[in-house]
Amino acid sequence: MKKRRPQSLDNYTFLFFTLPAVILYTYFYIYSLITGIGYSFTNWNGIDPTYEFNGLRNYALLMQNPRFWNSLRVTLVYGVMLLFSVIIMSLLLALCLDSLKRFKTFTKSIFFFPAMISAVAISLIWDQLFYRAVPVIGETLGIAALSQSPLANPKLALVGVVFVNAWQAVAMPTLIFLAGLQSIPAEMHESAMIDGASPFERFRHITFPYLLPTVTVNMVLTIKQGITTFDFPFALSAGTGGPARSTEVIGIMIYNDAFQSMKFSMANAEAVILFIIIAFFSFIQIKVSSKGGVN
Amino acid sequence: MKKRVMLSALSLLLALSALTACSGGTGTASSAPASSAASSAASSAADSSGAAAPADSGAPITVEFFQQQGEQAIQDGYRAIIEKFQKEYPNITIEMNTVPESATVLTNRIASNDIPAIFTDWPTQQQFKLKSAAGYVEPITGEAFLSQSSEDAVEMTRQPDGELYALPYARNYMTVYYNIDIFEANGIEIPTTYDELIQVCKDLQAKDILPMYFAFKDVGHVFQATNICFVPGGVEQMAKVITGEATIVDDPAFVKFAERMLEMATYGNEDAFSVNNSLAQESFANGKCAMLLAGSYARGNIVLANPNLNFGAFALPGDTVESTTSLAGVNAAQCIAATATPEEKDAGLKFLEFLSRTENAQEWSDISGEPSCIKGTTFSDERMSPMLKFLERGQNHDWMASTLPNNVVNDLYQVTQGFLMDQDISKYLKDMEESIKVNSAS
Repeated sequence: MKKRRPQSLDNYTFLFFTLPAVILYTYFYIYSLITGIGYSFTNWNGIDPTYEFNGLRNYALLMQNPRFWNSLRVTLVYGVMLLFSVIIMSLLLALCLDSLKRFKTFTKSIFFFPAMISAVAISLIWDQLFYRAVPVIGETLGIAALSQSPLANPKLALVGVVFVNAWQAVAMPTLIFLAGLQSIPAEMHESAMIDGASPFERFRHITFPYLLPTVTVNMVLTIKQGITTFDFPFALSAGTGGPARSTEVIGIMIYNDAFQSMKFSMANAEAVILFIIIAFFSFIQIKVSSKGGVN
Repeated sequence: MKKRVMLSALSLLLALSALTACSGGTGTASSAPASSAASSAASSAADSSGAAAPADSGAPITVEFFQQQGEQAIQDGYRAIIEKFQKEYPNITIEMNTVPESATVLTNRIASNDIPAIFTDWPTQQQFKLKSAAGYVEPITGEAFLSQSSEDAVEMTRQPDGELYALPYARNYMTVYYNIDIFEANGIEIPTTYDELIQVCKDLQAKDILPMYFAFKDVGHVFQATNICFVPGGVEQMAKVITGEATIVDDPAFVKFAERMLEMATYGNEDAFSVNNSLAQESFANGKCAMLLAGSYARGNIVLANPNLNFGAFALPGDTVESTTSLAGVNAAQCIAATATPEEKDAGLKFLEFLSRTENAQEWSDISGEPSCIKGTTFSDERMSPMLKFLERGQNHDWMASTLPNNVVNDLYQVTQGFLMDQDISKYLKDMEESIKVNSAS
């Protein structure tokens, strides 16, 4: 018979130090999540002191709402576009920055600068650039599609918003990739070079496997950022998700339903579905990305 | 060992302090009755001014005035009146609080029982009806100062329960602003029918002057103004679509309205979908066009962008003067929270009575540039008189949100934006009907 080991004082110390964070996290996230899920089964309008349980009515209405399906589609397209643009751009940037011999810190800080500006400020700046500069460029180059702000064209508006978001979002993944690149032992590259490996082969067989864990981190962060996006499309479309719903991501729909339309319980149902989608994608992505690579 | 014990004790203390803080916060936020929350706000306000006694005993009290209109001129108008008020009532301090996204902030504060003692709101909207029905707003029916406001405005704010909950203080409307200098230089008269309006556009275009400027990025209010003007009874018909009693698909009046929107757009700026309201107002102020269809709220911004612009306003014309309906409603009105303490309510009623005095309303109107609802006031900007005289005819219809749920109205904006892009009238009316049905389902 095994004798149960008494809990050491060390374990209690760790437990007590962790407790404040656990309590705060539970109150602000877990409790909010549970109450949010609860409200999604009611008809609460956000201000009424009373409300009634209406089962799956909100979810049934959502399934019949073409606006909801459109916003889901826009959100997924947005997430995929942001994922590819951010991962590719930040990887390229990190490789370029890593190969710099001089002014590395200065150049890094330049690329990190957009991350220090708020999303709304960036959106307002780019809105003006799109409105005032893009038509001039379009006219000069004779490109009809750029004769007006891309935000005014339903076919280009989402691309315009993703562009602005990616402009800011590449900063952090670039730093993470840089940290990953700097963890690769220099001897690996040196021995590969002696063996006659080309730059692409070195990237394929040395750099990329070492970077794979950081790719996973960046992909999870970026896809979460893309799917939960709100501030960029909201600010760039004047809060409407337009033109003609082309930038109405689910975040905007949730916000407008909750605070403009006073359909708080419906907004909660939308948020619950968004939560399930994010959880699903994150799970799949972590499972797939965790295979292979050098840890 | 001693060090470990100390560390454990310290961490336990830290954990307990977090627990205490959380439980304290929970109690205040969710379980305290509304009146106690308001009371604590009042007492803390009173504490900050040096005493905790109520206003009616002559002791100081501070009351929050949550003012929802962010325009600088409107805020300046209220500040001037508050300053005068405090000279007459030195023991009552009115603290005006104006925040961005004020409607969202107010909704959140109502949901968390932290309702400002005095606040402004739009009493003809459906969302206000929810607030008053839920008992968050103090009824003020029978207060003598309500007779200071024009009867039609007061009646517009009457709630389904027959009570009055707000002091109507200013009007708002959609209007066509016009550049007087451009009109005079080209010998153009103010149009009084839709055909005349189109003729004015043609004449201006023939002289290489851009007739109108549109902000289709914020198409909502243009949609409301044109629909109300061109489809008599259109809003009520849309309300009947909700109950299944009517349809708008292929309705001749709605088809005509859609055709006219498209026709007007052809006399507007090519980049209309890139332009928001602010940019359109700025462009009009800088003389880039002759006319702008916008709300009364735009006047202050136009003056701010170009104080020297000589401009006036007239009603968007329909088929004839007699059949023209103008979009006009009651702007943000003053209310008192039902959850306020008796002292705060008393101070709030005194403030509303002070606001309603003709001389104070006149001063507010002069500073804010907003037409007042208070009897005996006159609007200082004579150039707006064509519009204001039209409003006096009584051929007005309130904003759509007074009849339709907010989410229906908001979604119709998007549908209209899509229509102005693809210009398919038949599809537009079908989309409108579907949007009304889907968004009104509950």
